[in-house]
Amino acid sequence: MMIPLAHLGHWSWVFYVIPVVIVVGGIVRSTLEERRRKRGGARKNAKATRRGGR
Amino acid sequence: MIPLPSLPEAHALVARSDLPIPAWLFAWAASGALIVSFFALALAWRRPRLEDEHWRAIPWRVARAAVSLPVQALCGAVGVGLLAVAVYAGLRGTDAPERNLALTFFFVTVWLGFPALSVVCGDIFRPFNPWRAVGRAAGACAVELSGWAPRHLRYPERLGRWPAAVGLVAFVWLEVVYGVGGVTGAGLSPHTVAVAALVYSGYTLGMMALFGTEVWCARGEVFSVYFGMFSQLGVLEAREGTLGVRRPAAAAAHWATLPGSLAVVVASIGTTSFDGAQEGAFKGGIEALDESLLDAGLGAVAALRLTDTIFLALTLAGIAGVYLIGVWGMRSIGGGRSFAALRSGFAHTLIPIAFAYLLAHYFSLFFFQEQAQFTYLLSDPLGTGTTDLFGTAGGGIDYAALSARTIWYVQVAALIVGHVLGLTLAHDRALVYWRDYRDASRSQYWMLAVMVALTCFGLYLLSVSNA
Repeated sequence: MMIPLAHLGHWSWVFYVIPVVIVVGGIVRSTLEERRRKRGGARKNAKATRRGGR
Repeated sequence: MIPLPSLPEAHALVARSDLPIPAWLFAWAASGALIVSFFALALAWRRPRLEDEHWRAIPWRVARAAVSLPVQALCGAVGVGLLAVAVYAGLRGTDAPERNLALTFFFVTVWLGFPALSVVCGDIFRPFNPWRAVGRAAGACAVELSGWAPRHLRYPERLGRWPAAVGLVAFVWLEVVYGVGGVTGAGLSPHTVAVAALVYSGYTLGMMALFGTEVWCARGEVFSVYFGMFSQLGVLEAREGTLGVRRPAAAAAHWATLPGSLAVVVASIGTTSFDGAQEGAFKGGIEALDESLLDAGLGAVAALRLTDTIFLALTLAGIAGVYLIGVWGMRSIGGGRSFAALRSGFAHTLIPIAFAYLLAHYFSLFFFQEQAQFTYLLSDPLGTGTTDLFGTAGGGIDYAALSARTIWYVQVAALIVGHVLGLTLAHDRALVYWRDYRDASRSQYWMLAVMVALTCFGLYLLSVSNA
């Protein structure tokens, strides 16, 4: 039995996309973390302000 | 046991068979090099260093002589003479493109040689520019004869370098799209190239008469703008009547201030990419669309030209899109800069990439074709076989002078160095826009993605077209 690999070469571009996906994934992840941290910080500040007000 | 076909034999689309590792691994290694460079910049480069060129005159008499009026006049005369010879060869010489001086002269020696020379020697095309020489001479004659300087129209500043960007795409379109309808290997006949050169000369001289020679050269003259862009990477620059040196690549920081500058650099990368992909990565897509247009009733040549034009436009849009995504990402960091300001503020970071693409895609073509240029084409410019001006008409191209492996390593090195330099320029500009170096580094995550994407794309195109 022969595996039909003759057209596998057409998919070689996938190997070139992988590093781009890794870098973009890393950027998106770090951006989301940064936003979450900022939102968390803002919430803490708001709580502290409310407590201070009481 | 299942017999597996060897991939290069099956479709010849994977990589060069003589490489020690698969071509795609080079893309991974290049991406790694960019990531390491990015973090090294973030750690060690904390204040802008490339905003000031630090130009200083070379204190030798030869530096002043090199930019003196007699030398400029001589260079201009050489430029006009070479243009005249190439046009004459195209009009009167053989139709065989490989034997006629015109095609190799315009599309290889000038088009590929001047970018490399500009990086090394500064804006060297400026003194050799035949249209500038004619324009300046005509202006001087007009002043001499009439006693008053001709008044020019005010150049619309909003146009900026857009005429040069459009001209750049048109020039490459002529070579790689219009030419595909021809029957020869190069696609274009020397006669067509000579006629195009005459039409362009008329157009350029007309525009110089309207707006002034120097104004048009700085904004609309395709070759001045294109080669001048690459000269921004070099250390040599003529200023204040003498030659001087400046920090490498520092001049690029202020190049993209005119509208249309981004279009010029995107056009450069996009057209090179399309030329590289036309017979490789895009081949399948081009054939499929071409067949559809043929089925729709278009003629064979028209269908192929329309298909190539569509793919060229898509390539340009793709390159611009990748860059604009990077700019959009940078904007998310804050700092109060508008999208338009960031878009033009970082456009110069693509100049080293444009040069890297040019070097990577055409290095071997230039190396081999220049052997023809300086042997049989120079001795027999018309290609008629009847002249031997310098006794080299019997020369040829030595294809064994450069191995396939050497070509590949030069291509990979060009792409990596070009993108690392692009990343460095972007990091330096970010330090100006975001005062805090941590914010500046965070903003450059997105430019890192742009650089990794363009590196991998460039290597993919090369691996497919080389296979």
